[in-house]
Amino acid sequence: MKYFNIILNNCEEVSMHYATEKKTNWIKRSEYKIHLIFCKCCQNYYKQTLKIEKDLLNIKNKIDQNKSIIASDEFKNELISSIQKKLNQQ
Amino acid sequence: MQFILKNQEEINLLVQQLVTEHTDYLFQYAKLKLKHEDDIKDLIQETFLSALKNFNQFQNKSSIKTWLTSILRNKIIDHLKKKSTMTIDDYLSATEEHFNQMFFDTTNFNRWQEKILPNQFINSDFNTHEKNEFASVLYQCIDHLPEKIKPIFISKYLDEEKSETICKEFNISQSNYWVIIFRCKTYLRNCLEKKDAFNP
Repeated sequence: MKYFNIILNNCEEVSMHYATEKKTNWIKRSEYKIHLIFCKCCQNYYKQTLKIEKDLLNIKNKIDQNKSIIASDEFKNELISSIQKKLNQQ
Repeated sequence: MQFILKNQEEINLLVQQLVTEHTDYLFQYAKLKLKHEDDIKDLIQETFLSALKNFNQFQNKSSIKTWLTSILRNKIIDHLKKKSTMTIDDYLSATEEHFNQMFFDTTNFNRWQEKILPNQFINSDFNTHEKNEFASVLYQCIDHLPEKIKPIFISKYLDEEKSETICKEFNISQSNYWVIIFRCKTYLRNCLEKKDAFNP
């Protein structure tokens, strides 16, 4: 009974399995599948993390579009003069 | 193809061009990994300086942006190693209990602490406006990830590095690497849920 309780209730282990690409043996994978069939929370967590992952993979393109975080002109001008000064010293 | 810089004027022009074209991207990239703006500014300056010193060796195999980003990436890793007073393994052990208590019922076989409900985004396709809104909230949530593990998570998704490379660079075991990925996704999911990003 304790064994079934562990399989059916350990959301942390199951969610970790589905949120990562960590390799596990087929017995564990079967246990996780059984858990997933019965656990609505883990099913939802799994679907949500898939969605997050998909968006994370596009984040590289989003950096260029994200205009809310940009370096100030003041910093850029300071950077130019400081780099030029350091290069001239060498 | 190699770039040969002939005189001071040419170098000054190149400095201006590089800084004007690439600082915003490098700033945003570093902002995803580091918290303190002063550190970010110093590392960006060091990146340009190293790039310019070695500019004659720049091979046109990748874009200048990619080349600069990889220099900055290595500088950030070195900076984090120097600054770190606690190893990542120690950090994970020290925060394990807190993380578990935050999300899981440790007295009941580690079931989820709160019910994770289905959200609108699972079954529906976002329009462009909703997609952008979701992305900007996701961006904010990434910013709130714990500073110690955020660079590792970003290395996977932004730099698209393999797990073996990341483990080597940050000196962590494979199993702790997966713990970090799991924790970050759980923090992100929680943050998105709180900001109601699932129902834009």
